Amino acid sequence: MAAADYIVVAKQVISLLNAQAVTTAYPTSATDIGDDRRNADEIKEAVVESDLEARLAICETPGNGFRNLFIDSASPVLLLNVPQAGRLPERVGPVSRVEIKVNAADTVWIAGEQCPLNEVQEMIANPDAYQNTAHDAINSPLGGYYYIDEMSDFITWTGNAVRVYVATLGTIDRTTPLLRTPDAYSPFLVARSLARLYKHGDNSAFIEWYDRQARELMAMIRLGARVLPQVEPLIRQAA
Amino acid sequence: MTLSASTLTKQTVPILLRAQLSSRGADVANLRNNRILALVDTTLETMAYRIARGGDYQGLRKDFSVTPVAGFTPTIGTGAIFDIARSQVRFTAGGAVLTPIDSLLTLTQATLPDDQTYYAQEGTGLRFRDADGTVTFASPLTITTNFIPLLSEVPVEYHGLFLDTLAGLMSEPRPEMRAQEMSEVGRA
Repeated sequence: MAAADYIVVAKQVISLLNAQAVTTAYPTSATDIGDDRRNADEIKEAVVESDLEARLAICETPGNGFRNLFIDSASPVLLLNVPQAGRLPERVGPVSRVEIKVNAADTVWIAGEQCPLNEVQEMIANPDAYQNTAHDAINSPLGGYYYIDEMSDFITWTGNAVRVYVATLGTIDRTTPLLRTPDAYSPFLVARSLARLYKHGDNSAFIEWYDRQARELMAMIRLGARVLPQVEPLIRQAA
Repeated sequence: MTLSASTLTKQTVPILLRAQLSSRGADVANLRNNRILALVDTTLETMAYRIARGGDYQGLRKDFSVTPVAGFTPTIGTGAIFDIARSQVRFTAGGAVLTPIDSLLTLTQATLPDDQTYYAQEGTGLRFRDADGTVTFASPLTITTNFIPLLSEVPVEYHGLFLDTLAGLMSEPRPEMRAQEMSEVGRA
C-alpha cells in the first residue's frame, strides 16, 4: 500500500483546525494558512512526529500486515561475525523471520525453526549423539534450527550461515517531508497531529476530542487493523 | 534432495516418523529432527532384540567372520546378538558346521566324541574344542547370527517395525505397559 500523502494529511489538519486562509473553504496546499496562531512548520512537524509514532507502532506489532513495508526483504541482514553466535542487528520490534543456509555450498536458504538453546548447543557440539550428523553437513537434518534471545540481541543456529529479516523505521525525511505510514492509517496521522497542535488558549475540548480518537486509532493499529475509520470533526457548540 | 524409500536414512526417518505419528493424530509440531535422531540407536537396538527373540528371528541376521586364537575369540563382532540356539558357526573354508555345546563346563571337561569341533559361549565370546580334543583351535570361521543393524542396514520389510518402535520410544510409556513389554521380550 502506498504511504500516506503529506499534503493530503496536512490539508485535513489545517481544515479541521479551521486555519486556512479566509478566502478558501478548504486549504489549497499544505501551507495555505490564514490563522496567525498557526504556521506551516509546526503542522509539518506534528505530522512527521505522528508518522514516526505510527511507524513505531507498526514495527513493534508482529502480525500487523503493514509491518512488511518496513522490512527490507531484498536485503536481509547476514550474520557471519562468529560462527553459530551472532549479534542481532538494529531493529524495531522482534525479528521478523530467520533463514538458514545449512551447508556452505548450498544456494538455498531455508526457513529457520525455533529450538531451545540447549538443543542447539547439543546439536553443534555432539554429532555423535545424532548418528554422526554434523549440523552443517550437506543435507544435514540437524541444520536449520535457531535460538534467539531478543533481550540480549543474540542468536545461535545450526547450519552454516544465518540471515535475519528485521523491521526498521526507515528513512526519516523531515524536510520534504516523506511519510511512510500506509495511507490506510492516515486518520491516525490527522487525529494525532491535531492533538499535538493544541496550544494554550485553545478550547480544551479540542484536544480531548482528537486525542481520544488518536488513542483509539493507535489501539486499532496495535491490533493490526487493515483500515481505520475517518476522523470525526469536533462539532463546535454554538456560543 | 530426492529421498529414497528403499533405505532408511537420517533424512527420511524424521519425515516418515512425523507422517506416521501425524496420521495417528499426534501433534508433531514440536518434534524436532535432533530428538528423533538421538533415539535411532536405541530404536535399532530395541528392534533388533525384539526380532532376535521373536519367531521371525531369521529375518535380521548376517555373517560375522572371526578367527579364534588358541581356541578362543573374545567377541563375535560389532552389534552381534549371539544366541547359541539360534546361531550357526561354520568353517569359512568348506562350510562344515561346528557343534554347539550349551555349557562351558561340558566343553572343557566332559568326554565328547573326537570327530567334531565343538564350541560354547564364554562371556561375550566363544571357546572352542578341536576334533582331536585339544583347545588350540585357530581356523577362520563364519558365524551367522542376529545383529543390531546400522540405519542403512534395516531391511525394507522391517521399516514399519523400526518406525513403530521409534514412535513408541518418542512417548514415555506407562509403567505397566513397559513392564508388560519387557516380560514379552523375555519370554520370546
